[in-house]
Amino acid sequence: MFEARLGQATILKKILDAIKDLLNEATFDCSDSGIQLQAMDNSHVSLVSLTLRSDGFDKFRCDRNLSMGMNLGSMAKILKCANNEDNVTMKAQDNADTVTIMFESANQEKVSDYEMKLMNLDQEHLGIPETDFSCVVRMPAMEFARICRDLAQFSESVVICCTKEGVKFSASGDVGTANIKLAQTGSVDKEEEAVIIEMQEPVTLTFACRYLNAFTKATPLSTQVQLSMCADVPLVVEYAIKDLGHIRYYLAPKIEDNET
Amino acid sequence: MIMVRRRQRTAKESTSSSASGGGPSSASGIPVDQTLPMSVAGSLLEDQYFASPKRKDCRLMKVSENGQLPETTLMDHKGHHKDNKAGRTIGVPLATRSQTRTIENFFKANAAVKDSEKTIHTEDQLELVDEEQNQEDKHMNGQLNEEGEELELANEQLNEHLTAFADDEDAKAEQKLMEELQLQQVVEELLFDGSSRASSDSPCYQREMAAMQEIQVMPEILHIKEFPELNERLGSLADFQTHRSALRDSHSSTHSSSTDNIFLQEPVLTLDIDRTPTKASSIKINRSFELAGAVFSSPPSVLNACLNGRFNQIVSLNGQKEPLAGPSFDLDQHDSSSCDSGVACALTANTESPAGQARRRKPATPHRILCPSPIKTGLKVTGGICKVGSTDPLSPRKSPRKLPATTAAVAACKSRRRLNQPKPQAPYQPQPQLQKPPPQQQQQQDDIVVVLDDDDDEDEDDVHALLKAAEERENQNKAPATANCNKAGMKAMLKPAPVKSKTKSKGPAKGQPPLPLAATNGNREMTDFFPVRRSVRKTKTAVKEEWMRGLEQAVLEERCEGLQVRHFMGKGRGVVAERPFKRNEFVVEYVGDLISINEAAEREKRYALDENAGCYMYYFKHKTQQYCIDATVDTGKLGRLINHSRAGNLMTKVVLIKQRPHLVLLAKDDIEPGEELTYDYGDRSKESLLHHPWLAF
Repeated sequence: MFEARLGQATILKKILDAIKDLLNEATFDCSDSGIQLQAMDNSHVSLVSLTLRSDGFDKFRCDRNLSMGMNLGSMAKILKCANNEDNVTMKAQDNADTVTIMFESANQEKVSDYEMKLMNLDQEHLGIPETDFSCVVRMPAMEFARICRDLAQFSESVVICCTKEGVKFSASGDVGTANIKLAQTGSVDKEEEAVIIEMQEPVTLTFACRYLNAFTKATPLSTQVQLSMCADVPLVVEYAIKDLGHIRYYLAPKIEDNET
Repeated sequence: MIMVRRRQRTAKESTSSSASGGGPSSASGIPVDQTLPMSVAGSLLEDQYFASPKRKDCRLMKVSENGQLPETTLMDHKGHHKDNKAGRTIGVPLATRSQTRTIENFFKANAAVKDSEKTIHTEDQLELVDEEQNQEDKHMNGQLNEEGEELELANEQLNEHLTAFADDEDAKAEQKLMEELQLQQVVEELLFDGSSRASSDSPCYQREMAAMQEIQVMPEILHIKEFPELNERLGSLADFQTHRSALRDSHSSTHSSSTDNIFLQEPVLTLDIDRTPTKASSIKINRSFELAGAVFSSPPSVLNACLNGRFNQIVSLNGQKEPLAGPSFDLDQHDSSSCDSGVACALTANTESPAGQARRRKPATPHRILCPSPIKTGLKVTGGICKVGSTDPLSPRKSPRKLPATTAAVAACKSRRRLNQPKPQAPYQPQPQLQKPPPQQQQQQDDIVVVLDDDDDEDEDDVHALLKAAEERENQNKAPATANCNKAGMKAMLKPAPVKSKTKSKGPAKGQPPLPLAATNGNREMTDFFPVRRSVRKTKTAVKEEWMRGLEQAVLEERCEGLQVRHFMGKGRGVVAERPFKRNEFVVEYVGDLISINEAAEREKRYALDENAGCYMYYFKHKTQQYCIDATVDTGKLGRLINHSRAGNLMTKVVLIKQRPHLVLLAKDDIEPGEELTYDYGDRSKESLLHHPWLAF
């Protein structure tokens, strides 16, 4: 028996919105510690890792480990049926081939049940080693989304160059070149607007804009985004989900072609 | 099934058309050898056609008969084919094609009316031809048992004629060329009749389909031969057009005569139009009519067959105009086949003089709309048809009707469905159909029929666009048509390819799939950095089994590694670990004599007498049976030297190997090197304690 209850459907909605563009289907691994999801996109260029801790749920029960393969498009459709303030409860039997998603209005006057068929997905699971990143940049998520969106107009790829002074995003294409520099904020008035750079050594990496823009679909989940970079290692874009966990995107760097 | 049959029929038709084209070519005298096989193939094709698209065959036969009657053999073959077809068509029910038949029936009804008019003149001729054909068919009947007896007779006659007439055909071809104009008119009438008949009789179509399948190989050859003829025809396209106009007039006159054949009762709707075009075309190409007739037979659906027959007639008209050019006849045949594959026809037709035909066809009744798909397919199938189409322009009205009809017949399988559908959709489809028909006409005129495309959808779309463009480009198309004719001669050159390309271009334009995120151009993959986890988890039982297997292996090996014997003050010898042992790891086996309790008691008494004898008797219980291992004898094994400790770091386990229990000492906990290995002897009896006070520790 698996049962997880969230106070606000909006969080689950945002999570689905954040991953359904990259993934068509994914397996939710439910255990006593929470729900985890790890899946690569079709091209195997990026990887999504979602962690929802059990203590972040209003109610969480998982008697046996359960893997629920879901079509994320279908899941998103179901979640569209929920009001943002509804309570969401996911339920599944131990060996069930369906999962039940129940929405309850705040005053319990309306209860809607949706049962979705599960899929048996044979997806590869990647072992992600712990990495000491050369650079870790924390910046406002909105700012990152804006940068990715703007630079995508110039080129398919973005060069991220991180130094002590700050982090520079640059793109060059047929139209011309674009450079956006962010300096580390000296005084941290508002934590969510701060740009914080922890750097062991400078790093310059090239990434595909399209994937970065797909990652920024998670912007509504968090005010801050953390970019972790290391030479010849995938970029990690992490959005924290308050009190619940985090969603991490891994993006393989582009093959060395142009470093500015 | 029906669809398949239709397709097969179409193929057969194509072959038959090619064969018929060969006949004309032979008549023209261009390739005698080719013409001979062509004529043979044509006869075979015709037989087949008789089965399914009798209309076309009938038309061809009629034409050939009319024109060839004086010339004997070739004419006879053709006439036989036509007769066979006609007879088959007459007897065959349209019911074979379930879906399309209804529409076809309707068309046929109209055609029948028209045919009735046409058949009047032709019936007499047809009867004569039928008699001759019946004789010929006798030979063919063996192969075409399925076909009607008449068909069989015609086939036999055809076979005989084919062999004997191969040479005759050449001479006949020349004669035919001379007589073509006259014969063409007659042929046109005959063709119309035959087409009408074929259309009316579904069984005939089926037979033709079967024949088409058989003849498929032959048509290709015929087509090849036909291609040069087509080129020649292309050159004369302008002439053909003029001829067409004349043919149209003639067709109008001939149609009445041709329609007289009740047998030909072709699709009612198309019959009128077809007749006129067919007549015009038939006037031009008598020889081509023969070939075309074979092709027409290919159209699976009766309606299509009727239409095809008309087209064939048209083609034949073209051929008549250019009787000398063997290719033109071939083209005509191709055209007839192309009728099924309307697209191919449209393409070729567009190139040559498709526009005029297309325009004419467009105005044609919505029924033609159904045909367009077949026409398209025909266009796709063979570029050679285009050449024929150039010749076709002679009879714009007839050609349009015929073209749609042929296209419908050619595409019969697919077209039938479409035709049925398009009719209801008439308001929307008429324009496309109209567009399509012109290409078909063109194609038919061109004799491009060689290959019939079954892809109605693409063909239709392409055909529509092609037709429109073709109309605009008619002049330009003529030149392309010639090129198409050349291509048709190549077979491989078939215009269908260009059509396909066009269709493809259209296809992508219609639906451009969004760029997938998956595109990894220049990007590395996650799997390059993170290893894929392969689960190494084993079930509890699997782990245990593995462990037990390890124990057995160790016992069998008498493993005793990492152990060292050392002397301990007060205890004597002991065993010390030289290497670390993991928990539950095998350390050593307690080796001794496995004896029963009774034996052990006796030995106990004996050992009691010897004060030097140590305590080496290990009693244990395994599966309700009490055993004892006596290691009193110093065998040099280390198991017996391990000392006692109530808090030992080893434990014993019984392992059954080959039905014999073994005592194995396992590490109770992780053991560090240098630790003495001990285990609990478990003897708590007072007597033992008395004698061995160390047991208490």
